[in-house]
This record gives sequence, structure tokens and C-alpha cells, in this order.
Amino acid sequence: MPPDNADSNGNMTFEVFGRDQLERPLSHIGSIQAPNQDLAVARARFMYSERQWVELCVAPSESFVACLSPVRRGSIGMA
Amino acid sequence: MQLNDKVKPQLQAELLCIADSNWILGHWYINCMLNGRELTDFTSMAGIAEEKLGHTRALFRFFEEYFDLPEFQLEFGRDADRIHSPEFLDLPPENWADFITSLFLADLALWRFSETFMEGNFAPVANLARRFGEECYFHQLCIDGWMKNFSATEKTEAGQALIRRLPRALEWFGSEQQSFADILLEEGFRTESVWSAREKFFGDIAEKLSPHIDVSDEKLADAARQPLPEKWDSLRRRQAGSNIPARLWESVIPTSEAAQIARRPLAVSIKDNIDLFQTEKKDETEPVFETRQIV
Repeated sequence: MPPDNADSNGNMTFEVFGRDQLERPLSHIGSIQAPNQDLAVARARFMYSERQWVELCVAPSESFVACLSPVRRGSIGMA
Repeated sequence: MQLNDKVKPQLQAELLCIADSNWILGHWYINCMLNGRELTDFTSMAGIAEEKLGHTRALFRFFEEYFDLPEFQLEFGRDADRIHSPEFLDLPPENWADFITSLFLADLALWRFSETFMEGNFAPVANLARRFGEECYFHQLCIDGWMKNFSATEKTEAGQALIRRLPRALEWFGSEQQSFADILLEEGFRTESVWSAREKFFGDIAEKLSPHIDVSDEKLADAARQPLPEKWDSLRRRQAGSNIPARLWESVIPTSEAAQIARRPLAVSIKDNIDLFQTEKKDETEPVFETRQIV
């Protein structure tokens, strides 16, 4: 049974973050489609293998809360 | 650390089992890559195949350094009846569920087997095993993800595939008697017996597969009770004298004219009947030729 937030192929979107050196911050490097978390982690590792990452992680796109976004322009805080 | 003559043949055979199984498994991924469901599946399968072949290459280099067996001899100088890969990878996959189930069994069996060397006293092999484990984690994760996505029909097909392949996968670990009379265990090259690796492997199957596959505990237990074949080659971990199927072997070492032309020329001919497996050197400088009757 695909999750509620899945697209018509049963996939969810995960954002991928990587850090190539210990002293550098995690940076957003792309996104990945996968039907579950296991495949998302594995696919991220194989898709973004252009560098030797010291850290690589994924998070479901829907877990992010928008602070500013194109649709929320001008509606920050109480404004 | 020096390898003594008592240990060498057994260590060579066991490591060839790991190298050749990775070699064949890598080609399973390559052959079936186009059956992936999505573009990212192709990428993942290509990535896994690359790493599996990388494990083989690393072990072949190890053989060159510690056993005087050149890499080209290991790759091109052996025939299909000298390859140490498990027999359950001889049968081609029948469908997607069978493919994924076979990958699961092969990957897990290989890891449980390699893991026995990880805490051993021979650092070059222990380090290789640790590195293989780090990469196998992602291969297993990918396979787990594919399994979680099985449809109801695929769950049934995977159950049938498991019952068909599991007895062969378990027999790859050999007998309990053989595993406790193991010189590598006595000498500390491995810290746990192959039989204990088999027990862990079987435990993992019951735990990890039951949510994704329709198969009863009794059927699993039946599979575990199958005896070893009568003519069992304990060094190759398969039936004595058995070959890799011709079609699978052709995909590993293509013999077509086009493949021969495309192949990087070797510095040494492998057709000069120098068989480094069967003969021993008289001294360090002299190659020994295999004695073959000329008819």
C-alpha cells in the first residue's frame, strides 16, 4: 500500500544533503524519488556518488516547514 | 604475518569463494539491470554491480600479492568448472520477485561468510571484510527497499523462489563437521565458524523476510534440513565437478570475436598452459609447465 503522500507511481520525494569535509556545513545537493526510506537512502548513495562524502543524509520533503516560499511572499509572521 | 603452507590452500579456497561469488553476483546485476522499474533502479544496480566487481578485483589483487596468482590468470585462466560461486546463482531469475529474493540470499550469505574474517588476526583480510561490510549495508538496504514494495502477487512469487533457492543457499555454508574442523578457525584467521555464520544467515531470513514474503515457518525449517549432496567439493562449496552454466559464464568472460578484439591485450598469454593452480614452482625464477599428454 503506497503512503498517502506518494505520487501516482507510489514514490515520495526526499531531499538529499551532503558534507564533503568535516568542517563544512551540510549542503542541499538534490532530491530523490523513492517509495520508502530504505530505497531513498540507498538510491541517494548511488545517485550522488560524485564525491567522497563524509556525511550524506535524506529527509522527506514534506517534513520541511516553509519559512519563506514563493506562495507566502509578504506574509511573514503577523504581517 | 606469514602464511604457512597448512593455511594457504584453505584460505585461498575460502577467499576465492568470496571473490567469485561477488563476481557472478555483479554480473547478475549487470544482466538484469534493464529490468529495473525506474531510472534510479538502473543507477542503483549499476552502482551495486560496480562495487561487487570491485570486491572481486580487490581480492584478486590480494591473491597476486600473497599467493603469487596473477590477476589475469584468475580472471581469464580459469574455466567454468574452476569457479567458486554458489550453485543457487546458476539458475537464472524467473521474475522480478525471484531476482530480488536471489539477490537478498546471495548478498546476505556472502556478508555472513565474509564477516567470519572481520575480527580475525590476519589484518589484510580482516580489513577487506570490514570494507565489504560497509558497502554491503547499502546493497542490503536497496534490496530491503525493493522487497517492501512487493505487490501481493510478487510476495507469493518471492515465497516460491525462496523455497526453491534456500536449500542451495544453506548448503553453500557446508556441513557442521567441516566448519568446526576448520584450520582457519584454529589459527585465528576467522573468529567464528562458518556454521555459526549459517545460523545467523538463517535467523536473518526468518526475521527479515517474513514481513515481505508469503512463506510458512515449517517450509523454512524443511529447507534447513536438506542434506549436502553426496559429491560435495568443500573447497569450491558446490557439487564436485559442477560447472557454471555456459550462458552465464559467457556473460562473465565473453568469447565472441568482438569481445576478444575489444579486450585490453594481456602482457602474458594465458594459453601457454602455465597452470599456476595445479603446479608448484621449483624455484622463484622458473615457471613450471603443466604436464599434459600430447595426443
